[in-house]
Amino acid sequence: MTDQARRPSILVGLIGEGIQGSLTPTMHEREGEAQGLRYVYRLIDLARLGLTVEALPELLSAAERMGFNGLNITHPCKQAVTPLLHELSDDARAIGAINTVVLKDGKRIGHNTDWVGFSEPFRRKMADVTRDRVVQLGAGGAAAAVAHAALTLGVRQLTVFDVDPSRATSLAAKLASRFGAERAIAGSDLAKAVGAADGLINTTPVGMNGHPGMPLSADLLRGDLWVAEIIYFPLETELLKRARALGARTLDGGGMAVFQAVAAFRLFTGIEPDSERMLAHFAALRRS
Amino acid sequence: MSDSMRQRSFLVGLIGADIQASRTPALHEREADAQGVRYLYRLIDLYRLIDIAKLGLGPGALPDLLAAVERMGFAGLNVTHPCKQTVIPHLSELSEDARALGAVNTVVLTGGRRIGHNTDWSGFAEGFRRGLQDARRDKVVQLGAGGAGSAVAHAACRLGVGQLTIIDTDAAWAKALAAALSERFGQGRAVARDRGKASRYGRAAPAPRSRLVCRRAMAVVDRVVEGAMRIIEGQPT
Repeated sequence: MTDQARRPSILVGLIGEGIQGSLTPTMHEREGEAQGLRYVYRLIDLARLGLTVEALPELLSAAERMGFNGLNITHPCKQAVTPLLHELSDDARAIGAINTVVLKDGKRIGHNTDWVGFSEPFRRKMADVTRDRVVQLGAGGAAAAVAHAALTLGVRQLTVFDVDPSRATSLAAKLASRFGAERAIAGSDLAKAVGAADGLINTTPVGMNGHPGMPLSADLLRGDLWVAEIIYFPLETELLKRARALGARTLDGGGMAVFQAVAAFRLFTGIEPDSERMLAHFAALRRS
Repeated sequence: MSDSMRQRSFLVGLIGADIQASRTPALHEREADAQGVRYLYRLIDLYRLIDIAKLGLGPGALPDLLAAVERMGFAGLNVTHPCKQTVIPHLSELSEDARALGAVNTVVLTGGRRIGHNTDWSGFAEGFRRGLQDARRDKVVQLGAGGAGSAVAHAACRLGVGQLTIIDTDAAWAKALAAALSERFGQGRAVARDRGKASRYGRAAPAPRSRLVCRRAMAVVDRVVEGAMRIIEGQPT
């Protein structure tokens, strides 16, 4: 048996908490197979292992020793992982959060593919929507990446709200320092801001399985207010359902789930994945 | 979500020193492909880890490595030199064969448990059955009483060898192995002979019967090795 007979292999994993339902492993493994790779994607679930974010340094060296090519990183590790890396991509540095680490030749390089995960489906499906004023709900978790995407997509002014106003202020200040003072502000009057907005982006967990409900009062929705979600369990949140009922344009969280994986796959393998095939696969996974 | 949509995948590895030339990964991965199973086999080479680990590598690194493979989602490990014995205290259970042999070459990781097995002896036995089914085996000489030696001797006794004579450069190893085998398979099934005596027989030729036994046995060993290699290489036997 010769080494030529062995297909190139890629080993990656996802470190985070409460990740058992993630569709990312299957998306990567399927696309890897279609590309002729031996591709295995493991879940490294802190909760299941009885670990906390404190274990990150050990987990990163374990991944290196075991020959992992890279890691996806999710809640609650996206910020905590930063000091453990050797290099950051420009986007990752600007956003201040890492969701992808490439392990290569003893180096750990941090990237953020969440923001392209949001912007790519938006470009595909919402290319023509007005985006002068947009309200973003939530300033934690993936919010920094989504806000970065929104401003990169040409939103003229993004108003950020959070249950913790100091988080909204801090995110808006960071965005303003990169994109310009008027581009991002922390909101104080939600009804007024939504009333003046063209679009609404929800980055809070409200509406997700296990967090039922609406992130804002349904009375604030309008037929001419587009709504974007990043939740994909369920794909149709209460918020999207209500907005659609009013005839509003909507974007569900499925596209972000796929396109963050498309970009991470490219980083892990150096191979351009077939995003249409990954979208189709994701849709099939959601139906099954 | 249906199982057909979410195919299971297996991650396994080999822990040992200086294992870069091992053909085991390719063997496993090929068979998994043939079975339609997504399967990846990684080498965890203690020699290569020396520079990144501050562990004072060698078998001392085992507890950390075992914890790491469990956390990283490995389904199991093969274990080779120099860890086959030292791994045992870190396991939750042993198969009967592994316990009898005092050596583990396979660890299954499941539900937080680490179960040690030994597939070396059955590897030898299966090769012998296929390659030398009808060979006589009343008296057999085995050269070497180390890690693999104990598994092969176990296989030889299981295969019905009447008496196994064990020779090793370290006479104490040969004695210990013969004693352990006699305890498991019956008094007299295995004896240790020291190398000095064996070579004296050879030089002075006072015991032609022993020499004949030795020569026959060596022929058997040669054919066994050849048979085993064919199986490893995947050639028809």
